Amino acid sequence: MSKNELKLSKDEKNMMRTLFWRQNFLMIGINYTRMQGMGYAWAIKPLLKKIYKNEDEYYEALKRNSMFFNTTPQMASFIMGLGLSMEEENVNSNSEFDADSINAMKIGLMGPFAGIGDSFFYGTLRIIATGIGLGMAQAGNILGPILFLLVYNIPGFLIRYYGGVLGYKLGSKYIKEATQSGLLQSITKSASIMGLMMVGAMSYQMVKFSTTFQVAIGGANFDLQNVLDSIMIGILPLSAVLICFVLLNKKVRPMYILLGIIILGFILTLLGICGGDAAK
Amino acid sequence: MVIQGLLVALVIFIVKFFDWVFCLQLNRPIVTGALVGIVLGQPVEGITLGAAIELVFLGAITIGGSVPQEIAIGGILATAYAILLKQNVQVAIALAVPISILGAFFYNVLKLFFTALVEKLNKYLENNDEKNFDRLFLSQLIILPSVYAIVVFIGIVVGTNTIQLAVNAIPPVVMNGLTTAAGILPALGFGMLLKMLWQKNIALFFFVGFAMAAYLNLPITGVAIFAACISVYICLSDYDNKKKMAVNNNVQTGQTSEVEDFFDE
Repeated sequence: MSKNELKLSKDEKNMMRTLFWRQNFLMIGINYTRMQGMGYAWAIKPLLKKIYKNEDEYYEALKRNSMFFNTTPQMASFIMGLGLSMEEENVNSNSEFDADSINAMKIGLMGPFAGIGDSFFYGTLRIIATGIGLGMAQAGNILGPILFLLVYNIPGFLIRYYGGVLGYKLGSKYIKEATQSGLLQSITKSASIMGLMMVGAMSYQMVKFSTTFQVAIGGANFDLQNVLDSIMIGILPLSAVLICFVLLNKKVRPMYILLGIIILGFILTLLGICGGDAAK
Repeated sequence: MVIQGLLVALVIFIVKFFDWVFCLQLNRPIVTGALVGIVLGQPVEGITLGAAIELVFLGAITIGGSVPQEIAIGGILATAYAILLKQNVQVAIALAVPISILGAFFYNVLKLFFTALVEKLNKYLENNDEKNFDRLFLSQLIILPSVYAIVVFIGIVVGTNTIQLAVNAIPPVVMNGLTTAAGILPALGFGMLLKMLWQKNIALFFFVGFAMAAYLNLPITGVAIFAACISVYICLSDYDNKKKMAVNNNVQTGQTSEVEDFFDE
């Protein structure tokens, strides 16, 4: 793709501005049956109206676009832009274009995009932003929360705008090529790798799980945490995360795991295994 | 207490409103702590309390709309109680955990309500009735933050005295138990992230990241830099391999059409 292909005419610039404003409303009314579906339809509504002059066709398209949809909010504008370019194709090609392929594209892309977006925005960027802001916040400095918000949100809004432009200008043909050539899968895979490494590092740093159990045996002090550390540093947080992961994979509801952890916290404290003076 | 209640309710209204529209992550305790501190006239306390609660909730992640902990309510009420009752950080954390769990139940009920609205919105679309569709859709934007604001207002006005009694009555063992649990809780959030990212052929990178933190003591930004470089390299070489394979395949059989099928479905 050359730079010229991504150049916007004045009309298109207006369109992209509308999209940039409207896509923010994606999460409104998120629900169990359609997730962000209604938000998606509402976001592209004025643009659909421009594309479909006939009222019945317009409502048809609106209904089609209100179906189940769920992805990372920051990633949605790319899919919206792409969808709109396909809607235009649909109008211009009369009856040759299969309108169902638009929904197929949406459903096909929302999963990989959520994978990339969740691991980047929730798994990586938010944690880095928190890391930058937390030190100052702990010292009571208002710059802490402000920096957190800036670091987290600036990349997000850039992606929201340029994602929309990219999706619209590249169009379905390019995406088809990117999927076909495996580019999209490669990006998804490497985003997952980055996410996995971050989750690994966070599991050690942020799960505060250590034992304070100590007994004097024949004059020698037996410190359980020392023994555990010599087996593997951070073995307790690591096992906690892996056990949660296995349980989630067995379709145990997160709420039960959560209550289980709280009960575990009480039991370990009552037994004197955790929560002594040396905790944390 | 009514004025404080109104102020804190205003905070959650603003947080929920702008988070729903722009997804700014205002709901994180690091932010809400500061906001609650400011409206209650103790910004420094608020910010430090928020930072402490943020550490507990770092792993609380919303994926696919399932919320095991409602961090906005948990963070805001816990910070407010701690400031109003002049309690320390440990009490704030111990309060934040159970409140956030109750908040999650509340949010799930609220989501049921929005699910019920889908029928109505759909009907408006069927009837080509754009005006009512717009009206109902946008009214959701006011409903959610308002309900949150009401709950928090009641929580402050009615709850503060009860919480005071409870905090005084809670034996230290319960407090310690909650602190222990709060420390382990992020494991659940990371388990959820793992479930989303886990594929057998790349799973070992989880352990690479863990060892980087545990044995090299790298801070999180350091790990992120290594992780970014490694993943970009893998992406490029992976794509190169695929291109080469595609060329070979083309010579032999011609392109497979798996992707074509997926677009034509």
